Amino acid sequence: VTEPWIERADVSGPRTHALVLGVSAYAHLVDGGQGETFGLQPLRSAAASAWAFAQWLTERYRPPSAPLATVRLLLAPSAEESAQFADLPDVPRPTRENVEAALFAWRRDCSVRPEDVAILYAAGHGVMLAKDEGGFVLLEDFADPDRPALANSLDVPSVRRGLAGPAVAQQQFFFIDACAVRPEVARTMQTLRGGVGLDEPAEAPPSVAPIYSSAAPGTLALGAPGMGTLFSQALIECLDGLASSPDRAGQWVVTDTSLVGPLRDRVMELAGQHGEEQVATAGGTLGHVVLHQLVAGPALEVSFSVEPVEAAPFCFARLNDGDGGTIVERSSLHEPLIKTVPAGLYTVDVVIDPPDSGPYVAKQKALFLQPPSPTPVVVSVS
Amino acid sequence: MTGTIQFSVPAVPAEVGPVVEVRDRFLRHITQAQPGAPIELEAGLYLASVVLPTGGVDQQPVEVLEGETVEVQLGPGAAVHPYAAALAVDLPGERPQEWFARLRWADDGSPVSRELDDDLSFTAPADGREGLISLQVAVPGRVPYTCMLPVLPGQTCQVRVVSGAGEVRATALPTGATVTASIARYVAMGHLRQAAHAVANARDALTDPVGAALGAYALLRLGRLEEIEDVPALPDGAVIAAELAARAGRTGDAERWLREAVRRGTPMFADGLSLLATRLRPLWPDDERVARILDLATRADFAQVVVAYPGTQPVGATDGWQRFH
Repeated sequence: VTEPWIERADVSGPRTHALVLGVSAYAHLVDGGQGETFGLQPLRSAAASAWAFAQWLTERYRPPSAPLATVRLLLAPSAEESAQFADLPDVPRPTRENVEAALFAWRRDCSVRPEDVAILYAAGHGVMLAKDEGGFVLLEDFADPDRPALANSLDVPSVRRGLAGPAVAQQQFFFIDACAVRPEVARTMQTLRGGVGLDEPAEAPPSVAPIYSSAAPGTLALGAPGMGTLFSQALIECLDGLASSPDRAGQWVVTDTSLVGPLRDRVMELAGQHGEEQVATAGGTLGHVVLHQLVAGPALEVSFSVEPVEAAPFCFARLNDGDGGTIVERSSLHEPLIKTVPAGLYTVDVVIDPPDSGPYVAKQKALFLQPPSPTPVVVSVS
Repeated sequence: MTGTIQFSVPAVPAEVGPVVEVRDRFLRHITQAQPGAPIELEAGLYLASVVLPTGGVDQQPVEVLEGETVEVQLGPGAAVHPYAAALAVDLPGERPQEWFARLRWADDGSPVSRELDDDLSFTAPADGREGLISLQVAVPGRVPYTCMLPVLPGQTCQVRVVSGAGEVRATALPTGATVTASIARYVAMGHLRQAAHAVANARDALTDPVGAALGAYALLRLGRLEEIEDVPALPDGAVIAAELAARAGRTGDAERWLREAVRRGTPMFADGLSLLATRLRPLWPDDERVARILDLATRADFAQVVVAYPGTQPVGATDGWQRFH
């Protein structure tokens, strides 16, 4: 259990260590369960979400200075998820015993050098306490009748307080993708103790430790079967470019601060598509640090057209990058031209051909194309 | 081979000190510009951007031509409802058809002498009484919802009321062409760095405790503790002082300020409630007054700028509802 699912031995210097867990199947949330279940039912999307995030880490995560070294992954997929995702890896189950072992091993890895990065992603039922704390994430063996009610949970506030001290990774990112329990249950649970946590030294906290949570206390985190939770969908979209912006060197990056607004907006938007409401909150300490660098500007679909529409049959567009290089060769605008290009600064040249086609004039327009989706480009040639 | 650009950002109060960021054609940051102050650049394509007090960002490509001066206006001349976008992000949803509202002093639950205006603005009475004011909203048959109003005597805020799944909720942000209003909108839209910049730029002008508290929370969140010079005379002030002391390792001071925060009662802002709950929980979870705060935190909507939660705690008066439809 303490061995990582992914371990990259070739990484030297600062490195990133991730602990990822997702709980959809709950052993004691079944008909006839003897423990205090608080009326909770198993989930459908949490394990798939954790798996998606772990895959993103291993395949696309590009931090500026601390490459990925380890990922500890614990999953309790639902039967539905197991059927849908044939490639779900055979990893330890997120029981109290396993999570405790993985947590301490992760903490040990994160305690080598302050330049390291620590990432915790936890998905499952949860009790959100405050946006600076996170809350409890209920583990697979939650509601064991022979254990205190919250014994088999992950105590995120304790983990945050425990990852302190000068040698600990000074950049820590927490993503709590919790299906927040009903308010009346939360009120009961918040007085309980005993989840899996860390010793809490009286040491200086890390310089950067944001926590992004999927649902405000008292609200329900949503997920679609086979799609992961809305939070995980939004998070991965944000990391893949939706929350990116150019840094001072022009490199497209996602920072702890740039993630705040787009993640909230995208979760809200996805929930709206399901006729529901959900919000994401950001707490903890932010430092405007880069979490992820994109290889290139995020790809954006953009539409080009001209006005008046009568001019369209005689108009041709060429898209140039900021350096004058041609990105899209001369193309007819008879119909709106749809192209996918990287975000960035461009100029579009619209020419009239034949030149005496009407009372139209060639135009050049400067454009800044940026996420989430650029507005359609309409060039006036009148 | 150079030309000149001069920016104007009319929608941003001058004391907020809007900063126009200028990038070259490769999007490399090359300089910052102050509105009204011309800058000289090599001819070519640039990107100019500024965060507006509405919380939105205006970014415009600018072509600098040799020997010419380009004047660029960023953002609108003046927004009709500059608070609207930030309020909508702070609390999304549709306005209910019919709902009721009442205003209470947060400390003792007594009625406030002034009502909500028809346009849902509210000006706190300047009748000599200090203290936080809470707005309670309700629809028949559902649990009422409470939010703290970000105003002190004589100040104005704009309220937004929405409904969803049969529940009614409310939020509010300060209004006016003030630094406080700009900071609040930046925070609501997630632009913490701009909020912190406004605090730093308008430090001398920021005498309003409401704006000072919002600014201090932004600075705390960004770890810029040394820039917090004063703690405001609000319940939030004790939270901010406690957080500063705790992060500096002054445990005794932190605990003293936390006790003071508990004595002062519910903070005005959600950041304050979150920080307070986070610090209190490991210390005195069984203290009755602390338990009330922790309980409130489990119900609060931390996505909002102000403290807001279902229910009418700490008061439970049953009359004095103002009807809206």
